[in-house]
Amino acid sequence: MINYAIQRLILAFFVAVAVSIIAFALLRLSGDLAMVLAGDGATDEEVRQMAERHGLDRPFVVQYFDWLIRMLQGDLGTSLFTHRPTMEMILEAVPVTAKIAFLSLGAALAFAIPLGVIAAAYPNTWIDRAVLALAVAGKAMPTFWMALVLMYWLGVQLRWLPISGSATWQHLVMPVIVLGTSVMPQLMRLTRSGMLDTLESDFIRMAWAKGLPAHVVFFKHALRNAILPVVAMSAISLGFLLGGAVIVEAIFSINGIGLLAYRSILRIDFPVVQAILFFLSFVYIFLTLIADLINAWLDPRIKVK
Amino acid sequence: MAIDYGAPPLLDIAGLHLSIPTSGGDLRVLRGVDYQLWQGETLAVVGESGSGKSVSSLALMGLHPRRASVSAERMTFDGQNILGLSRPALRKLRGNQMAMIFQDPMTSLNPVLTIGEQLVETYSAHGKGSRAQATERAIYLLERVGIRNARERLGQYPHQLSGGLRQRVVIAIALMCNPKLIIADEPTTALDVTVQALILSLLKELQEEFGMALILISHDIGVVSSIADRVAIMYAGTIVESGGADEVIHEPLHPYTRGLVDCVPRLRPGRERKPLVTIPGIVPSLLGPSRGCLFRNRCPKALDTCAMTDPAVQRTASGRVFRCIHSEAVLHAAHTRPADPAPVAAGGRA
Repeated sequence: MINYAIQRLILAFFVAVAVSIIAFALLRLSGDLAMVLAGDGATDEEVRQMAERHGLDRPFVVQYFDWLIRMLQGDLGTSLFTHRPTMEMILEAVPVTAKIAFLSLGAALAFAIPLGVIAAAYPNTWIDRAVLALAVAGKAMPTFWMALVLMYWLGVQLRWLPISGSATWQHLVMPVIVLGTSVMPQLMRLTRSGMLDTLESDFIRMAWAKGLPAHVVFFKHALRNAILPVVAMSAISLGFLLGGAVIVEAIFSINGIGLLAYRSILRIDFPVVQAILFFLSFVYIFLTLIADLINAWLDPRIKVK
Repeated sequence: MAIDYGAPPLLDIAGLHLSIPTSGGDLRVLRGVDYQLWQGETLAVVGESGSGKSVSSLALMGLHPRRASVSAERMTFDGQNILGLSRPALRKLRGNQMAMIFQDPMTSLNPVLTIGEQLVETYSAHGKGSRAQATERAIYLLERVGIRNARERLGQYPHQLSGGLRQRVVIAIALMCNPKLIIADEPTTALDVTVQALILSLLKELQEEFGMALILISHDIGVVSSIADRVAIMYAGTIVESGGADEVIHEPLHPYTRGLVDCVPRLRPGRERKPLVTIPGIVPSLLGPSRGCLFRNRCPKALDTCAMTDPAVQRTASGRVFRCIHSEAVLHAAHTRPADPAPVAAGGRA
């Protein structure tokens, strides 16, 4: 297990380096940053001065290593808009986004796994179809629409929940419902198909032949085998929730990482955009690493390969 | 261990039918299966793929496909009617009173659970005792089936064991609750030839030691001839012939049994090579009802009347049972050909 973990960690390191180079290059290739920063109607001289001020006139490799060394020292640059350290702005935005992301994933899994198991236990019956209908509905509803409907219904009409901000736990309920609903269907379908495959295997027939009760056969024998792709998918979903919840954060006025990214793009605040880009890439890499390790713990055969 | 044939049978099945509804009509997999099994006895059920030999034992344990419908005139185990038994009641019997050994040890153990867990859980599920007791019994049985370092093996996973060792583990799991009946469904088919004989003799040895009844399902009449007391030959969902293993194999009555026996290739170094024998034709479709003998299209002794009526069940003086339109004497005379040595004589019953 230790060897496998070290192996995965080394791989993750190289992926992180590769991602940082690609992302750095993409931002530079998206246009002449100095020209954009100088604004419309700026003279060549003004653009040149802008490039000089932000070090954009230096060769790409020099810019990259300069940025890399400063990042390793904990310096992600300063926002062009607020003139505050980028690191500080990100660290302020992360907790609320992380809280919502973990709660949403937790809620999604809490529904997805039992529903997937039940659907697989009664395939092609009305139970299975009802669960499928739920999944389709959850996937088909756009998040912004669902957010607005909930806001109007639970917030404006019934006045049960606050509709904007993130001060108390009540503020998080609606965002969690919306985001949880958006990632639940794929996790449920994956649980169902994994369970259906596993329930066909010989060792499940053997488990029945041993006279084990149904809950032991389903949850101990089948689910542990069926859950492996669900774990991998959860890591991806969590990455999506940490970075992609822009619309939901905007609607509920939550000052999370998604909203910060969105605003920074509009303000052409490229040090912040760059920092968020790297932050989210590393989050993805880290989550994938964790998912690999959980799977290795669940399935002893993975460690051997 | 002597078998007391005077006692009531442990397992008594009569007229077992099983059909599976499909889009093309009912697939009638079992068309009246009858057999009895006594405590301590070994019955070999032999037949081709699709003859219903595995399904009949799955039906016995209530493990047949859920959409299949099962009916029988009689189906009792240890004096208890098991046909109408509720799911929980059947579950209490499974793994406890009757255990099953499946064909492929590479896939019948759960890859993500340790060997120890898979042994212990059967014992615990039937409330046989504490975890410590279960672990002790697991170690004892692993050693008994010929696995060394049993205590260390408990913490290992199936992929760390060879096929032969895994089948020994599967056998140990079957023995955990000291069942009265073990059904072994092609227990050696997936194993190397060198390991097959070891596993079969181990099964026989354990059966005598623990006094269990054993149903050995196989497609290979040669394999079972050495350890079975009685043999039942299945064809297209019915038992076409049954009786003492020696008699059935050495003097087969039913033309199908005769064909099966002739199909066993014999290894005799130095002798001229004979072409491999086959039974011409294929197993008939099991869709829908049928009239007449289902073997008639492949039978060398078939008459026109075979298509008209179902063959009667006949019983010989020595207690053998067969389903054929011909009488015992006719079949006997037809099969006795000069200069044809008794098949599978070599290495037969010890």
